[in-house]
Amino acid sequence: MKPIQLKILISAIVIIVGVVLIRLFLFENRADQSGTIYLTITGENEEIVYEGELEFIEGDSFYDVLDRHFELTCATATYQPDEGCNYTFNSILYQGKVILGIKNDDFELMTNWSDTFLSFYYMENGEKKLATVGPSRLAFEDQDEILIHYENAWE
Amino acid sequence: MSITQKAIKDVALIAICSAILFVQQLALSVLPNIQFSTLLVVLYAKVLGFRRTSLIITIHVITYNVLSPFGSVIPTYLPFMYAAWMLIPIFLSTVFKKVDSAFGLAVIGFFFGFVYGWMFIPAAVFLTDAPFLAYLVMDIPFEIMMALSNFITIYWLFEPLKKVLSEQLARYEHKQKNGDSI
Repeated sequence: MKPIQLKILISAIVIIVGVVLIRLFLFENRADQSGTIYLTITGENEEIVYEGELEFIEGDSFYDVLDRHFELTCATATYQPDEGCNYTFNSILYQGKVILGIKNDDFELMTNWSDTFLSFYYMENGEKKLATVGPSRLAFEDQDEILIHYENAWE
Repeated sequence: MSITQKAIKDVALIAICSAILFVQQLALSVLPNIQFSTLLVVLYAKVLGFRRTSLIITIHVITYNVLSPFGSVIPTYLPFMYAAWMLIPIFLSTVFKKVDSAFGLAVIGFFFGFVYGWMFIPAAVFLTDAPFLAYLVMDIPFEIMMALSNFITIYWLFEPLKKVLSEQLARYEHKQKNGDSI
């Protein structure tokens, strides 16, 4: 095998292994059955602004569940508010929606991404466990408890 | 050639190399962790030596944080960012001094992609209270991307760039010895 062919082969193997590994960390999490999740949303001062059960159906992502029950404001590519939630991040490492704001008739939370943002937690036996992915890829099952918290980056 | 003239030429060389490092990182910053920074720092460390590379890294870290249109790095991260980049000239001047092949350096660059990410963990966990496990897991895809980028760029571009830079440096140093201007 010529050196250049070996070089191409090694490069191709490294790229393929890398892409496969990245895909392992970026798989989609959609519900494989219908069910309900228990959602809590807390505001700037950790006050509970929403508590309740949300129903989901087979094939839903966590974003779909929120979108069905609340009015969402997503982020554009430059993290500006997108009330229609038309923009979806679709680069190699950033995929899915970024939610900047969430509201219903009783409450409204709006963040600006630079100073404030919404974080997602799993509640396990009363303990908060920070999710490692965003709402489009957040894994969930029937009866899971999830917390959405308004965070200030400087506190 | 006087020591002052030599120093001025060294300053110019360091400034040009810093500018190249800064501009490419800025131009590629829309792509997550895809950049030529590791390739260039490895190249500088191998061709220009530890002292010049350290100065280039110092300038790069400061200018990137002051001038980046994407916003500066959180100040608490700065020493960790500087220490992470300094690992390359430190290791290439000591334990990996004898590694000169593009493949060997590409492998080092691959692992540096992960080490670079881990260098920010103390700042994230102890200074900004980010949860360790969540931070570690969230950063893995970015580390893999940087590792891939480092491996491919060093593997393919180190040799040709080293040849060009070494030739230019030889001409520059030859003229320095003869007292000519560049």
